Amino acid sequence: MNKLFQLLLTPIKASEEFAERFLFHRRLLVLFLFGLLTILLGWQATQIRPDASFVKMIPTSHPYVENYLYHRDDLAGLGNSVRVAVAARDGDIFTAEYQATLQQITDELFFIPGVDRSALKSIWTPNVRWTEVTEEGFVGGPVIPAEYDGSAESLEQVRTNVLRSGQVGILVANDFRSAIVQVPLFDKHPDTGEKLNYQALSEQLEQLIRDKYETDSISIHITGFAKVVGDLISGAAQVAIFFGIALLVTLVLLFLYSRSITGTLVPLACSVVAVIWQLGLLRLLGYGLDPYSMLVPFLVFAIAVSHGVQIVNTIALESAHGADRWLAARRAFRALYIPGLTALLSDGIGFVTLMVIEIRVIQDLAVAASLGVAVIILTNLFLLPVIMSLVGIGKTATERARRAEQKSHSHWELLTWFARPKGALVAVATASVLLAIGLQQGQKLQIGDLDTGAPELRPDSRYNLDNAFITGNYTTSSDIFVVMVETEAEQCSSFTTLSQVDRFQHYLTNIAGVQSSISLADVSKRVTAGLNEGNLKWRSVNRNQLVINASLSYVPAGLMNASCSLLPVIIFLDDHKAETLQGVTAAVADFAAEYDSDAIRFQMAAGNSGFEAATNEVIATAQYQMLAWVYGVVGLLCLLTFRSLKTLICIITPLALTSVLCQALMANLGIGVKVATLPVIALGVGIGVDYGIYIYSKLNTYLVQGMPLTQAYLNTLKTTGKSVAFTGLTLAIGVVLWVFSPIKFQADMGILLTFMFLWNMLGALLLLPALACLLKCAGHKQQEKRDAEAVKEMHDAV
Amino acid sequence: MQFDRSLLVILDEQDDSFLALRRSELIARQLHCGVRILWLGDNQTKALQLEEQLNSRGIHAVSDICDPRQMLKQVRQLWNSQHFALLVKRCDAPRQGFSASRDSQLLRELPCPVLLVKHDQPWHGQSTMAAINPMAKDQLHRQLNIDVMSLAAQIVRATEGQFVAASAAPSAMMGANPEMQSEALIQERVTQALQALLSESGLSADSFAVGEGPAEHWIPVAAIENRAALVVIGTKARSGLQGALIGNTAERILHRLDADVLVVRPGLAEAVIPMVTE
Amino acid sequence: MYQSSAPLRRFLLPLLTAAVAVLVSTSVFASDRLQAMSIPSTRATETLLLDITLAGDRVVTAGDHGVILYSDDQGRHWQQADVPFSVMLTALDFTSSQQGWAAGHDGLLARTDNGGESWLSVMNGDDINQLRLARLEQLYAQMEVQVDAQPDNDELLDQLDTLSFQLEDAQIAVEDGPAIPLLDIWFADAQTGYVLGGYGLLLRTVDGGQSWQYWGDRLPNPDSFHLNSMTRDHQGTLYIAGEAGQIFRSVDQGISWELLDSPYDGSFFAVVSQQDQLYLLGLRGHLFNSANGIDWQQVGIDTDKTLTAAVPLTREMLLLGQGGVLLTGSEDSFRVVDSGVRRSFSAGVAIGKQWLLVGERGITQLSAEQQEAGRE
Repeated sequence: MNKLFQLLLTPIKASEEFAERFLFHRRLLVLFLFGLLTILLGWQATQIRPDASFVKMIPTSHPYVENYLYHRDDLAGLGNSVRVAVAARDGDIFTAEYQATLQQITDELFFIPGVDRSALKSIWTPNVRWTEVTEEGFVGGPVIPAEYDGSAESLEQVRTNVLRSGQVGILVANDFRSAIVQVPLFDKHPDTGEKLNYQALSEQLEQLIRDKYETDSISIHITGFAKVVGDLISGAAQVAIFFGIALLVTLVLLFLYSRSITGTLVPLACSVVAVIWQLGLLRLLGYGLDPYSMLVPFLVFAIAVSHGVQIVNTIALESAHGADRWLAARRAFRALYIPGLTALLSDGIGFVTLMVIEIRVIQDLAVAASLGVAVIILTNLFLLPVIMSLVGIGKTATERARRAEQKSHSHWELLTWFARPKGALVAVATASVLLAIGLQQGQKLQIGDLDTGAPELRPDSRYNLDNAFITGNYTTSSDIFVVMVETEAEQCSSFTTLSQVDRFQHYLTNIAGVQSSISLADVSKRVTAGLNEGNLKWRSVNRNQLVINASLSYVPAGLMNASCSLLPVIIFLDDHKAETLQGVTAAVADFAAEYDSDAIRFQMAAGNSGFEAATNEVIATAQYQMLAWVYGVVGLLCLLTFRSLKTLICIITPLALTSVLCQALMANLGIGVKVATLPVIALGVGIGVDYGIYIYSKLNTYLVQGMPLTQAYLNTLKTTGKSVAFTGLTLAIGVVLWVFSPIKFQADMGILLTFMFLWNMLGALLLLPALACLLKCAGHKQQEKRDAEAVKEMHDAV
Repeated sequence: MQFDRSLLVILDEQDDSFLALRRSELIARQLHCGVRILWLGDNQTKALQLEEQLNSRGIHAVSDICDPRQMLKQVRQLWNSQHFALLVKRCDAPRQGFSASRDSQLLRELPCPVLLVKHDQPWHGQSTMAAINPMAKDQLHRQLNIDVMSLAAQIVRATEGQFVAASAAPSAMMGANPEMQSEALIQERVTQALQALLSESGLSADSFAVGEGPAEHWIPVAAIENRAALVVIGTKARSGLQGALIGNTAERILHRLDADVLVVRPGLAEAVIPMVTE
Repeated sequence: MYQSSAPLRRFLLPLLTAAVAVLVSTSVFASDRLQAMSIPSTRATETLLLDITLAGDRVVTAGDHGVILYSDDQGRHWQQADVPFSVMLTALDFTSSQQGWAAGHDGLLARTDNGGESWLSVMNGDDINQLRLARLEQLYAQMEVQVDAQPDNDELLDQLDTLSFQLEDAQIAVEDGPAIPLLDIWFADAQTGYVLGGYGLLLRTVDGGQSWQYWGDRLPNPDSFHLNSMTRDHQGTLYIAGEAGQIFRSVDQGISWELLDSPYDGSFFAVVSQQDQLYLLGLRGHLFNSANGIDWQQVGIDTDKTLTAAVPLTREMLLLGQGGVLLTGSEDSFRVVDSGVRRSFSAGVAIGKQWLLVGERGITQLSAEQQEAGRE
């Protein structure tokens, strides 16, 4: 076994020799190369663009989504759309000024790039019509008559037309004080193939519509996925400001801690360089910034700072022992090479495993995170020591380090209680209790959105207020779940099909969360009634196929496909909460189980709520898969490095505790597990494992020299422990300020990250030695024996 | 290969270069061997003058001039035709930069042992330090170590000085094998390895100097502590890309030393040893 | 990963679900809507409801998807009845507090003997088609005999021709299946009742519904216009009103019928008798009244919405119709009342101080007092 580990260790050691020599003998060359790369990648990084896409957010290999993608061409307008509500602050919409404004807005929206013009709908578009039955039969026309002239009679006519168009509650508010323009979007333009630019769209909506038309008498409300993304992207500036604040806080605290200008600026600069490289590489590889991955650069920064501080601290210690700047940097490089590399590799490979989740956004995040961590190896493990070897750490810091070492007593001694059997038991017992509480609380963790509207933004954000306005005043919600009914060709309008779909829709009204639904069956029913003078008693699917055919002579777009083999049932939900979606999907599945046959199949799902249901299902399994992979990789690498199962337990247990408690925290804060929040816990593991590896490595160097655990622990605390504590606290302080961010997503992440930074730190400092104590007491003799054997082998080899 | 028992001395205009001449004189007198002077430049007169000077002192000397830019080529030619045993030169001042310095080029391109002279105090009665890395496992390295030590031992006998065996112990590396994690343990191991190597070669040192490396730091410190007049060191003579990236430890060390440095290539100490042992 | 579990899920889950569903009593077993059970629903009161009536103190209403609801507390709470079919039900009539009838699409006729708590299907479109075919065959045979007797009588020949076309239609209808919607039920008393439907359908029973005869041939309705509503005036004359302004009357308890001159050529949706007046409610705000059923006068009202039903009150009458239009009044004076509802009404009933109106948005409850108060 030992031989195997030796085999694996040799290339690492060989690489260290090479790296050390190259870096420290060719420092100027190294600086030049890094500088060049930084400029190149920095230039690339400035060109990085937001790259949001509807399809990236949904799990493309989930059956629901596969069904949707299969029928995608037939389901125009059910993917991505925006709703613009134009409201009259006083009075109703039947005034000349209001109608003029609505007309102008409809026209403006028509010309915005990315809009599916043929499917644009408002009372001013020709595809919205009224129908009525007279003695002669059906009559109909566009809601705004051709001869409209803004006069009182015209407006009366419009009022009548609106009432008989059936658009009340859909395009016109229930209280007649606002009207909606429904704007379907192309995710990808059918002719040019270019992707929808969400940021541009959102800006145009703001500038061309809201800014231009919102006045004392008119208010504008806009909702839709594209707007959420647009708002998030616009909020990126805010997000960046909060990153900046965290950076500043780290700068100040780091200086106060180290009292060394170079010792503060250099690690921070290298960490920033790591972020620049990461962004540049992403751009080079063709990625963009997703508003849901906006965390990653900060995480890269945080991890880089953790490593940087370790190195600077070690350099300070070496300086305190009398080494000159070059020597101190070189020795620190060598000393920290293996733990640093292991930690970063396990982070990197751990993040790569997130690719197993079949949602593009998360896969992109995996790439971004692992790239970032790989880059940290270069900037903070390689570049940082080289720069420090040139600038040195400064006399003040060296003096402080020397004095700290010579101090006979230190506050850290209090903590050594945890490394003694009694204290260790207490620590482990407390941890077990916390674990139990965490597991129990964590069961309340919900998948999907727990609130209405867009949870990434604050409830009082413009978007959520607009969303509340629209759901309050209209009957059709923006939470749409589409069931695709597949039939044989030309059978979508047969009596059997329509009556079964009709029954399905009635069945749905009994399902909690379903507001209403619409399908081809409704068209047939209404037109049949219309052909019989509007008599409600005829509003049923007629058994006579000829009557059905007559009723379907004009079908609005989107309710059946050209070959009459697909009819979508568009279901409007009260909300898109996870339990609502679960209820709906279960109900549809039940119905499908009974009714599906060769002739008819009820397939799920399209529409934004349909996708969300699919996403929720994938996430439910994914969250455990993800943790399994990350822990697996991290565990394996730790095992390879330290070659001891007990060490593995010591390092992994505090991490596991953090993960469990973090889930409990999420449950208690009302944060649901969604695409945006799913990777947080995995990322937390990546941050935490660094602390554990550094602390354990240092502890081990003392143990190997034969020191008793308590003394070894004390020495570790005084050196590495100090850095870990400092890093954990500083990053936590920097991140806790995010709570004030207007982007709720960032605020939530701030709380979770603060918790993880602090808890990982505490776990590494207190729980790890406690576990080591308990396990060491049990297996101390065994380890000693193995170490002695290993040393002997070394001797024999020489 | 038969070696000509002679020294090649490279001299040029600079004042310090006479250190090389003096050192060659000391060696030649001690070992009764010839000296070939290679003057860099076109001052034929000077070259002849120096030749005369040496001849007059009882040392068989010949001289040549050579274009400084052709130095390497010339030396190589001389080596091929005459197989001189040792090349003596004043140590150039350290020069930073991408391309290898003149001394580095000599050390890498030429297969002969090179003595870079830094002072003109006689070696007689002084310490001679052999700097080796006893932890190296491969055969080439081991042989080099043995060569260095043997040569150092011979020189010590010839100069009636002290033999100091020096090694730099690598710094501690966290996370590596347990024995690599403590500096004390590492130095212990290195000392043991050093002693083992010496006893294997049938040599014995007067003192040991083992300290925390890297070599570029420790060897010069040990040299000062032990007041070494001469440091014998081996070199792998990496050239080309490897030489550009990693370089050679020997080349690094020699700039930090105040002592003379005798750099030995693998396998060619044979040339010098016979010369020395007589 | 996900895909490998998908086939399993697709297979296993439907199996399990099917198994569970079979066990659950209220399963939605797949079949034609004439046999499929009506789905019990918590939102049944919001279904499209088409008729509402009283069965003693109980209010019963019926509508789309076979939804039948009843309430014993004047509309505060509703229960859904057991209904073994899911067609749209368009009309209800109770002959006593226990016995009642419902009619709907696909020719469905159903009855209840427990005040509407559970229902049984009595007849469907196939049965009706058979009744009609039998009757027309009978008539045709009789006509043939007559023609044989008078081969030169052109009128008889024309009638035979007409009958032969009608017979053909009836035969085709039998092949087409149960496609006739029934639109109204009216019982004169516990024994005698009529069912009206689309395309001139009329059925009659004289034995309390145990057997029904096809009666459509008794009406002079060559164009087979839809028959929408039936009533009886204070003198016992029966009236049927229908599509395209058709009004029929019978003075001999429904044996024979005559077509009256119509004041309007648009459809009538209800014919109502209140005190001594008859009213016709029709398309686009057309309201007519008559004292004798022959001479009709248009009543001017302030709406052009279609009127579909009338609810007799103590002194007045409530008229309701499309777009939530509501009027109160009597004789030739009616006022529009704001119902506060924009969805169409189909029928209504007054009970206690409540008006229970049904239509597009299910059940609407209006307080009679508030409406009265609002008026003043």
